[in-house]
Parts: sequence; C-alpha cells; structure tokens
Amino acid sequence: MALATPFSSALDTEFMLPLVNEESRARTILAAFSDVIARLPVAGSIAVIDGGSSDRTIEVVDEFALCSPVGIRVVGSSRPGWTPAVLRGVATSPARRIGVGDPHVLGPRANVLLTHALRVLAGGAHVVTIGGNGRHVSLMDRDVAALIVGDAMPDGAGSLPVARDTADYAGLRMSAYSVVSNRYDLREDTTDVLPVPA
Amino acid sequence: MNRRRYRSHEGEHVVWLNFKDSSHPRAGGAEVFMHSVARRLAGEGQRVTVLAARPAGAPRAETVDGVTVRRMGNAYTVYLLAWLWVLRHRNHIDAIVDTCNGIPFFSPLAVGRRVPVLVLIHHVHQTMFAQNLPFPVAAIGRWMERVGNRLVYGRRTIAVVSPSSRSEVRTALGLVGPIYIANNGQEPLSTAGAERSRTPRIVVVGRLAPHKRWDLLLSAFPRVAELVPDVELHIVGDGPCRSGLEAMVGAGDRVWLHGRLPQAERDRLLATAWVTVCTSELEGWGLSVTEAMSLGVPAVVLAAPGLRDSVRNRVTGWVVPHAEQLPGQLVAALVELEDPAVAKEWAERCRSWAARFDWDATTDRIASLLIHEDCRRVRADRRAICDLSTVADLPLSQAARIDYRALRSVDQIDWDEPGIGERRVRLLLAGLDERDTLVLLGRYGLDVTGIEARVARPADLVGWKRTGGPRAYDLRAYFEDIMQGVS
Repeated sequence: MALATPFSSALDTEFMLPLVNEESRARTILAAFSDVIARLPVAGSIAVIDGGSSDRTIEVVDEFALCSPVGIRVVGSSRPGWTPAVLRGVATSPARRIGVGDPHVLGPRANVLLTHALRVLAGGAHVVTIGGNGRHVSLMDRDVAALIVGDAMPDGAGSLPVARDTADYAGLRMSAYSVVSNRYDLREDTTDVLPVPA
Repeated sequence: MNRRRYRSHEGEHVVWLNFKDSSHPRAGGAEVFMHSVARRLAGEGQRVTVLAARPAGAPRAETVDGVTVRRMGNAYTVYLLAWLWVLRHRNHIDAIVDTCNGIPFFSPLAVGRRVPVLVLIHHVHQTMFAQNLPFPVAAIGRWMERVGNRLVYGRRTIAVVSPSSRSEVRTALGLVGPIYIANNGQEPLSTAGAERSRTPRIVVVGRLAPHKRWDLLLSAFPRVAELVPDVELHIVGDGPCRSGLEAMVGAGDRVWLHGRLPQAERDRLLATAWVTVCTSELEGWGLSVTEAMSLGVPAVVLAAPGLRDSVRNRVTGWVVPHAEQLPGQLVAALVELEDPAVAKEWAERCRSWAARFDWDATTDRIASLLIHEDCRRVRADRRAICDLSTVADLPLSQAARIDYRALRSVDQIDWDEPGIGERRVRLLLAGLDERDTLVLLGRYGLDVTGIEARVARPADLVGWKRTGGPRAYDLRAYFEDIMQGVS
C-alpha cells in the first residue's frame, strides 16, 4: 500500500509486551507480534518486559530473538502489574513511537490498519487507536505514552487510552479507527483535540 | 517476638529438620547438602542440631563433624516426633531449616513467629507420591505438599537448589513466599594419573532408577556405535533397573555395567571419558553432571528440570530437547571432541563452570537466607514479592567503593579470578530491576554510566561466590587490596 504521507526513515515503533511466567506461550506470542511488525513500513521492534518470571520465559525470548525478523530487547520491571511494566518499557525505549496491545488481534488486515495508524501519527496525531470488538492496538508518541499509560490505561492491554481534562493533556490529538464500523475504509477520523484549559 | 534471634554468630542454635541424615542407608543428595552445610556452620561455632528418622540399629544421638544428630521415629513418625522436639525446645532455637522432602515438618506451628524458619525444597514430589505410595497415602502426601505447605509456611522464605526447582515450586505448589536459589556445592575430585581415553568413551554415573531413564541411552547407543564404531559406554551405579538394562545390552555391544565402584575408582574412570550423559526426567540439580565437569568432561543431557541448570548449552555440554535427538547429538559431540585441542577448550570451560559450585558458598547462602528471614520476621516486609533479579557488572575500581555489609543478605557477589583482561565484579540483586539497581549503586556514589545492568537469566542465578549483608565481612577491603595490587 502506498503511503499518502511518506514516513521518515528514522521513524521507528516499539511494541510493549509485558510477560510473566509465559514460558509455554512466549514463542507463539512473539511469533505473532513479529509477524505483523516485520511487515510494517517502518523499523519496528518489540520490548519484552519481564515482571519477575520464575520460569524460563526470558530464555525462550532470547532464543527467539536470535532468529527474529524484528529486534527484541528485554527489560525488567520489579513492580507488579501491566501498567508499571509498560511504563518501564516506555522509559527505556529508544523508539519515537510506542505500540500498546497485541497487533496480531487485528487479524489479517493488521498491516493495513497499523500502516494507516502510523500515517495518522506522522500527520500530527499523538495517539491513534485502531481495532474493534474489544481488540485494539494503540500507537503513541513515546512522551505521550508515558503520560497516557501511567494515567489512563490502568487495566492492561485491553483498556483504551483516555484523555483527561487536565492541563497535561492540552493539545493532544487522539484518533480512533474502528474496524467494525467502517470496514477498513479508514475514512472516519475521530480526532479529538483537547482545548487548553483557561 | 521483635528481638532478632539469628545473626549467624557463634553459639547460635540452628535446627535442621530432614527426613534422613547422611548416615541413613537411603541417604542421597539432600543429605549430602544438609551435612555439608551443617558441618560448616558448626565449624563457624554455631550449634547445629539435625533431627532425622532413626533407621534400625542407628544411635539415638551422636555428634558428626561437630553437628549433633538426633534420630527419632521411622519414616512416618519422625515428622510428629521432630515437631514435638521443636515445640519443647522452641525457646532455645535461633533458626530452623525445614527441609520439605515431599512432606514438610510444619515447624512454624511449633515456634510461631518467634524463630526464623527457612523452607528448603530440593524438588517437588507431586508425581513421585503416586509412583512410590499406595492410593490414599499418595493423595494425602500430595495434599500435604501442595496445600499444607501453602497454609503453614505462608510468606516465609524458601530456598531451592536450582532455577527449575523454583519454577516447580511456584507452579506446582503455588507457594507465595520469596524464593531464592542455594545451589549445591561439590567436593573437589581427585583423579591422579587419569588421562582421557584414546578411543571415544562415554561414562555415566548414577543410580539405576526408573526416573533416570538409562534405557533411552542404551536404546540410542547402537545408533551411535554405527557412526562412531569404536565408542564405549561405561555405566557406573546400581539400582532396581539393573537387570532390565543388562538385558538390553547386545552381545557385541561395547557396553559395561560396572555396578557401584569405590569413589576413587569411579572418579578415575570418569576422568577418562570424552563425554558423560544424563537422561533423567527430573533432577533437583544434576550433581553427577557437575562432578564430571569438574574433571573436564562435558555432558549431553535431556532438557529436564535441574539438568538444564547444571549444563550450559554449547558451553559446558549439550542440552537435547527431545530423547529422539539423543543419538544424533551424541555423535555430534563425539565428533567435535575428537580434536584434542577442541576437547581441551571444552574441558577448561567445564572445569571453570564446575569450580563455581562449592559448599562454602552454599553455606554462606543458607546462613544469609536465615538472616534475611529473621529480618523479615522482626520487621515485616510488605513489598511485593518478585522473582526478578538483576545482574550488575562493574569494574573492580567501582566495586571497591561498595560497602557489601550494607547490601541485603539475599544479594550475591561474584568476581573474576586473575587471568587475561580486566577483572570485573558482578552483583546479583534480588527483586530489583535495572533501574532500581542503578539507583542503588548510585547511592554508593558510583558513576553508573559505566555499569551494565541486565535482567538475570536462569543460568545467572547459580554459582555465586559470596552473599551481601553481615556475612560479606571484609569483601570491600579484599577488592581494595586487589586494586592496590593492580595499580
């Protein structure tokens, strides 16, 4: 798919993947992630955040990383829960954009949807959520991700980013594209620009 | 309750509860572990009492290497009698190591929160109950290990011997207390005059028990012999499977079942091997494998719990994911080791790895975990329990600025021996991630930009030389001395 807005070659996106005691599933999860990310029009990578696995999850990740089509790095999080884990990943990420959620759940059109989301981000939006039926992925600028994940996504990968009516969120451009409502046409831009509080 | 009881000082009384003692006819690795650590604690001036079952003819009490061994009851009644002994003497006990050989001693019910209790688990016995006991007893045993453990020990500190055991304890038993690894040590083996065999030779040592699955090795051997015609297989050990294994050996096979050999003879034979093999389905650690490595013999093992920890794949041996890959891997290993120069490199790596495991370090670890549990007992630690650990790798100059006595007792320290290149020091910080680690080291005034911190892998969790906290003694001065020597 040709891109309406060309991407900068320096643009890259890192997907956050918190894992704890997922030795048996880690390879499958990583394969699904990397399958989608490898086909993105930008350099994509995965940050695996280990929240204190007692099994061999990280060994499985290391083995997978040796032959993975995308870069995989491992970072630890000593605080329990999804939110602290993603915040650790965001804080240590070298990428400009952060992906939250499993891109594989978007199905066979994941690449189309993510490519569109990246184009919208490149066009000036700060947060773009795509998906439907409770399965969605959010892409964000890294600095915004630290704010959004810490404040408004406390329930794990399934929750949606929420813009709060505070000064911190002033000027943020958030867009959402529903797979269900527009069947991949992606014409309906629901961008909401929050006003700067008086 | 709020008085500290155990600081690993002289005169403090440690009680070690274990189903068997080292002189028991069926004593195994757990008893070697207990005796090796207990006699070293006694050597430091601590009073150590071992409570164990009394086999027929054994004295009720005796002193072995400074350790008082009290024997009582049989394999079943020892649990009750030992519990009553602990209850009666609870005011004169400073620390307890409660070994869970399937069924724990439930010592916290006797001493409450007065005494620190360290739970020691070598491996989980859930599947072994059904193999060794009739139905109702096996079911009770499984319940005691899984549910009883959880109810009685709660959030108490747990020591296990390998990362695999830790995983099992979390998944099969669901214990929630902090789990730390106190790996097995081993005594240095002496094999004066032994040389590597001229022909390819596989030597294996172990009990001929069903779960060791030596039948897999004997089934694989003819296929290995097809490709390496002069290969020999020597099996040292005895057990219930011996007759069955002997029946598997063909007339022309170059296979010898030696039975039990005197240790010196066994070690000499082992030192002549090109490679050793372990096909066990389950090990707490795999002592026979690391013993072979201490003689420079790499190992081919199946990817079983315990063995995956004692063998570093492609570094000190080969970890085979599936039994059907065993013949191919054995052939590949023997071909690779045919070149004496390559074999020498493998032998050096094996010796270096095996040298990391000694009983002094294990003793240090157990004593430090008891200190840690005593600290937790006195001052409740409400932080979330996290199995994450971080390895910090720092230059000697930075390491010489750390007060290791101020570290926690659960933290560990390791350093390079003199050799080629810059000597570096590594810290294993339990429960901390990379950011926490750098913040902690920053508090010591260190320049953290030159320090590498990374999440510890399972292989990073074993083989550490010393512990932090009060037992770090003069480690800082030691590094300062090395620094002065370097400069």
